[in-house]
Amino acid sequence: MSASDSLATQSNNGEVKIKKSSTSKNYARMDLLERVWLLIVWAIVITIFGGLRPHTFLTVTTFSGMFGLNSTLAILALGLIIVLRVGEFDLSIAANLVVSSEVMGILNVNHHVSLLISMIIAVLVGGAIGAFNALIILKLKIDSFIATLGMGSVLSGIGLWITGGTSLTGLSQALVNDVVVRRLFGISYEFYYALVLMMVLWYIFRYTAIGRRLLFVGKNREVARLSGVRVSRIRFGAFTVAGMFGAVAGIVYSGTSGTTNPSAGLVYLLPAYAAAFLGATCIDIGDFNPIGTVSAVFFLVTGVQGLAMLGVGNFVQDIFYGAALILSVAGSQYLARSKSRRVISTE
Amino acid sequence: MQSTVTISDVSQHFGAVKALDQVGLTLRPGEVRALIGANGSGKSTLVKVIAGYHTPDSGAVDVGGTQCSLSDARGVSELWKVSIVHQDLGLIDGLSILENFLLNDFSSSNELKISWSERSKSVSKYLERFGVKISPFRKINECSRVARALIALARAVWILESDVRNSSVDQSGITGTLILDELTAFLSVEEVKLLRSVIKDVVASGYSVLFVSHDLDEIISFADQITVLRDGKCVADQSARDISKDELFTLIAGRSAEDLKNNAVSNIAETESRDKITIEDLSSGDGALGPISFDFASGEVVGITGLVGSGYELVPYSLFGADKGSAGSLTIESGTIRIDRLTPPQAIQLGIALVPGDRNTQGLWSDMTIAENLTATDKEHKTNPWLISWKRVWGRGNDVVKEYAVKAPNSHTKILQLSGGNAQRVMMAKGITAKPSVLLLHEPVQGVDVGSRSHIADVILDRASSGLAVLCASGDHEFLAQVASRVLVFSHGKIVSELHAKEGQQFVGKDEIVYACQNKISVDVQ
Repeated sequence: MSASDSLATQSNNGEVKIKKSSTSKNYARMDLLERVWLLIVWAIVITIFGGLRPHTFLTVTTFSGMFGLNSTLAILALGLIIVLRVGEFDLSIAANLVVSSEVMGILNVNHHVSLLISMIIAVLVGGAIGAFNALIILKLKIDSFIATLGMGSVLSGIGLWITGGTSLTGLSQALVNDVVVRRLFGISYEFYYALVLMMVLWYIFRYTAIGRRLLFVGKNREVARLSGVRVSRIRFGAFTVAGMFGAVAGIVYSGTSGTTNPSAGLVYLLPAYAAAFLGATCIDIGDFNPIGTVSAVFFLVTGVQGLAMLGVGNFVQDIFYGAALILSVAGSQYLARSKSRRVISTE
Repeated sequence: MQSTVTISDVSQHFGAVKALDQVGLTLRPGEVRALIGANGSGKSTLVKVIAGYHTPDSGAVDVGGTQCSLSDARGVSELWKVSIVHQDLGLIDGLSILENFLLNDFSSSNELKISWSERSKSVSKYLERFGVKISPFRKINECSRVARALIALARAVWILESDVRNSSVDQSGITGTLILDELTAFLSVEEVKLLRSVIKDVVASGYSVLFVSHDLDEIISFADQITVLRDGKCVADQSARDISKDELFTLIAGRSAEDLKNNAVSNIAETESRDKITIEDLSSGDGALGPISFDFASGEVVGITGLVGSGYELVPYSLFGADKGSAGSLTIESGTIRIDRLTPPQAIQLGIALVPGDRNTQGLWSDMTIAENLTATDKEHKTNPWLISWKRVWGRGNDVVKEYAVKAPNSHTKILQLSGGNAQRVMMAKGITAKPSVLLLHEPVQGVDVGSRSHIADVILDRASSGLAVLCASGDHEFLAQVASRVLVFSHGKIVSELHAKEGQQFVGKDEIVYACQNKISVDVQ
């Protein structure tokens, strides 16, 4: 309380001004620059790689691959920010991706269930896993970090078990066609799926009461509770919908590779977190937001792709994603501090 | 043999405020001295000076003829040991009794192997001295309230004697004082009795006790000597034997108790045919409140107050369904509701709004804007929940900024950029924009500037005059005297008196409230 008291004072005539170092026009421009900094850095990165490897990097193939083949990560990260926005963690979301896609594969390949029904069931399974996470967290009152860490391990075990640890091939070609083969403007359909989901989330977060309640709960659970928000319901819903996003990411993964794989999906967990946290440093600064997240996904894959073309080994992915996660969290904390320092005062 | 400690000439100022002005007191071995005074009289400052948290502007201490300046903390600690038990007891819940005892030892010692069995033996022997027969390996949160108080007391004496234990100094050579800061506030009458007998034993072993309390009955029956502070000055230093409660009150308040007592019970309000809100058998799960019954009506501002720990502050939260374990029933226009089943969303549906006591952790999302905070409860400008109109949200926020005279450029301003008073205005607006018929307030002017205080008082009275029923829980008696036409005074979880405004006056007088809180005069509450 004393901290906020000391932040602001008021003059005798009651006029209050925001302290700023430059004129308000410059200030607005700075504000915009802050919001889109990641896009600017992205453009710079592309320029650098383009300059170094003009014939391999600056090609249609490279770009259509970068945009078209990374929707699994983008959709997973979008699911993740739903839980992050209510102030929770879901470390089981990548394992959820694996299990859901395997359920689809088993139904479609082994039991000859139609593709559409298999996909619907996969999404329902993903949602059920998310709901189960929420139940553990709410009923047993366990921190979501620990609960989903455990669930992640349980799920990846189940993933190995139901397929006997092998990949399933022979998925319906229709899936592969609609995910990766068919293209619009030279980019596979899956890119547009991610884009649509991004826009839907953006709309929900910004223009619906439910979206606002997600943020209310994430910003301060007790304030939300005393404002009449049904906090448990919101947390439950967030985990459930995030689980469904995990399943959709799983479907897109299977469509891209034409298989299911009991372990390959797990590697998406850390990049998804890196994208979510990096995304929170731009667009809506300080809040996990869909546009920032998807921008961050493509920024990160550009970096990985570019470094690969420079001949750096595969290990660079791990280093790059890990460093991005740490730096983006550090950066967003720095931003939060400097923002709160910009206080109202008299001049 | 312990020595007499005399503290003299203690002065301390904070900015322009003189918190202590040449205060002194004497602590004799085997004696209980009560330190009393109204809020802001300097009690806690004096305790902090004695404990060494504050270095005073001036002041000296004399221990058995040896003098030392109070600003020389090391010098003082060589002559005189002080150990404090605060109201919150300062015990760590998740640790065992034994570990709580040894916290101080561990923070300084560097022994490589802790001898648990040896230490547990000496601690359990210690606990027995204080009437606690619990294994020292038990966790604090497994102990009852009174056991915790006793454990805290035992630990305080343990700390006093720790130097003696660790060295070979003769135990009687150490002069020690135990400071008890509102220790009994949260305890029931029986528990207080038990605690007192234990304290008497401590005193009998030669320590002096400085006892900070608001409760005049307790002071008169328990203390040997009394020091009264008023406005940072010592206004009385005398034996507790030859003083009456009224005399004591006169010393604390600086005015006679007579004219306050007679008016306290006058004119029981004529209950008009207005909408009544009736609360029956309200109690909290932890036993700190109730069961109590009372009612209030639309258009009325009812204050609820009491000393620290009397339970009054739980009432707004239980009536809002936000205090788990509360029971009882609430009858409003639309029917009777069981409080144990009430949830905050239901309370809001029923037209009940809560403005909680803590702006930063309960009332507002501090890193969100004014306008966004208001959207949580706003019914006045309800926008489509599937297509929020941000233009309307900002516009509505700007209206509130203007209407409540919030010092902010516009409603895009974040709460953490506002001063306490301005944030409080936004929080009031957030409660009121829900268009409630019942408004529950907890400490509505805590830590706010004078201008905001009177602004908030105006808002409360204005809304009450347009038909809102307001329940205001506050320990700020001055503020209650600005808004409340009726005040319910709590003690140990029960309503002990009901005060009404005097003939021809709109509000209950401040001194009447202070008097009732400290004397717990019982009045039949209908």
